Amino acid sequence: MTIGRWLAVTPALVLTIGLFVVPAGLLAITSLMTHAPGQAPAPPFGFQNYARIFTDSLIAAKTRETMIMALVVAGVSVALAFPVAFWLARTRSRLRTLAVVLLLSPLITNYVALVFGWFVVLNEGGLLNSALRAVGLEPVPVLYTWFSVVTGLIHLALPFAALPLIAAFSNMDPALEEAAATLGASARRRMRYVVLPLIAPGLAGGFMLAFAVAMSAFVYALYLGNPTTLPIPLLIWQQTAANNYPMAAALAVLLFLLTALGLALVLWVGRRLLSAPRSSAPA
Amino acid sequence: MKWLAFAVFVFLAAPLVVILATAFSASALLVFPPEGISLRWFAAFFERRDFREGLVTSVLVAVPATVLATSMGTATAIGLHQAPGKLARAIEGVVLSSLFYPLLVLALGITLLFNRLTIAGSYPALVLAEAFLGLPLAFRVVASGLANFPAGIEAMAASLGASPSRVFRSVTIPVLRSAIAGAFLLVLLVVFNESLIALFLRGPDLVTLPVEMFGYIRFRIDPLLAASSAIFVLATILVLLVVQRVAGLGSLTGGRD
Repeated sequence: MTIGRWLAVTPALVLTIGLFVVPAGLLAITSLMTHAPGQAPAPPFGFQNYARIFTDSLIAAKTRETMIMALVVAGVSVALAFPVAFWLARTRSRLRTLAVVLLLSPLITNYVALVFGWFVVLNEGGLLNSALRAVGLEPVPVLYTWFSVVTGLIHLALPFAALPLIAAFSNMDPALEEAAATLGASARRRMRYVVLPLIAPGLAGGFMLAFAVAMSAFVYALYLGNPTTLPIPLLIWQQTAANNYPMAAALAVLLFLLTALGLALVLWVGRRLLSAPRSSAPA
Repeated sequence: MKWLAFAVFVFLAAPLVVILATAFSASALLVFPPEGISLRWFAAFFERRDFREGLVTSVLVAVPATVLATSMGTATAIGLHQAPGKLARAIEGVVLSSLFYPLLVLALGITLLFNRLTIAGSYPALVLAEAFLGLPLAFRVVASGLANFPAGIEAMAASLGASPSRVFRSVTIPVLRSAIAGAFLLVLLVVFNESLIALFLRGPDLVTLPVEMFGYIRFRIDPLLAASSAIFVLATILVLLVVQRVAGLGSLTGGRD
């Protein structure tokens, strides 16, 4: 690294250290502090907030629910992202640009606007129930349930799940699939033994990003859920709103560890699932 | 596969379509299909002082934050371009690291720091935090523009006698112009739409439009929200289309866009 290069990267490096590394440390320290109503977090230091988290049965239940919700969201997002990425990576359709814009829109659009949109899709007289009535079916009361929160989160996580997959599909050589077809492999076997192993890193990457998104978005649980759908991100917001920063920080550390745990799990499972069959694949 | 993809695109479009439909509806009911067409909800939006001020605050935060993020991201991308060694990769990793960190944890951490410094709720503090949020994105877009840089063109200009600063001004920047413009527009869009950090760092006179909506939706859900949501949806679609034309979205999709 020359001096010129150092000068160019210094502002970004300083900002990242100042607003990412320092706050992460401060978060860990604050989680060990004590909360007194109306006062800033202060010593004495101790593990009292963590003790409360691990003895509180409500928080234990919420932790489970948060993990399950994020896993469901990530799984469904990747499943839905698969055909989208497959199509986008190969199509020459003129609708492609519009499709890319549509796919990227949840990544950017203000959460509150999207939450409002899902409200209008899912409410009594909304798009979903109007469509159900039009085909002669009973309307379904899905708003303010676990289902509506998960639906909103899947929509939010879809671009995160799709982007690594699109990259994986674009980098895949179509000749490999053709070769397998020439050698007599059925469509299913080509998918299983050629396509899936090649795009596995994209699948894992998409799952991880979607999982991290689902672990963080409390606005959806707050406005599309009910008091029983109260995952950890929402608890963090409530503790922050109540000015109990030490407790909020301890829950944030928990959320971070859960996210990291989930990501490690995905990597482990992905490696096992995708490496094992290759050795047992028929020659 | 094609029809499955089509079904998913319908799912992706559903909330956006209903937002636009209800925003231009003549009725006060949030039903679908909407009844009649009018601009009354946009008029109602601009009649409300809090929403109007929220929109102005959003723009006043987004523009300087984007200028900061884009200039820092561009400088970093140029500084790390073809830089050899593990150190350069490590710096790149640090700058991109926040992309994989839960946004909520990031927002809480920054709030704790700004509370300590007693600058939470102040305008420059929010601008700085939003600039940080946009930095990795700006860096990625410009870095991917650099990756497509015609090889050796800078060396060629130098061998023809151009000074390093002349090479930078007359070769590097013009070639990168579309990537920088794309980065600027994308970051502007992201910061304009951003609600989480803006919510944590809000102040009595510092409420962006997404934060204003966050407070409003708690008590009322009506077409006024549709009009305000439509501003974000329209801005998102229009800017993404422009970026696609100017710089391509390939740096985001990792492909040939």
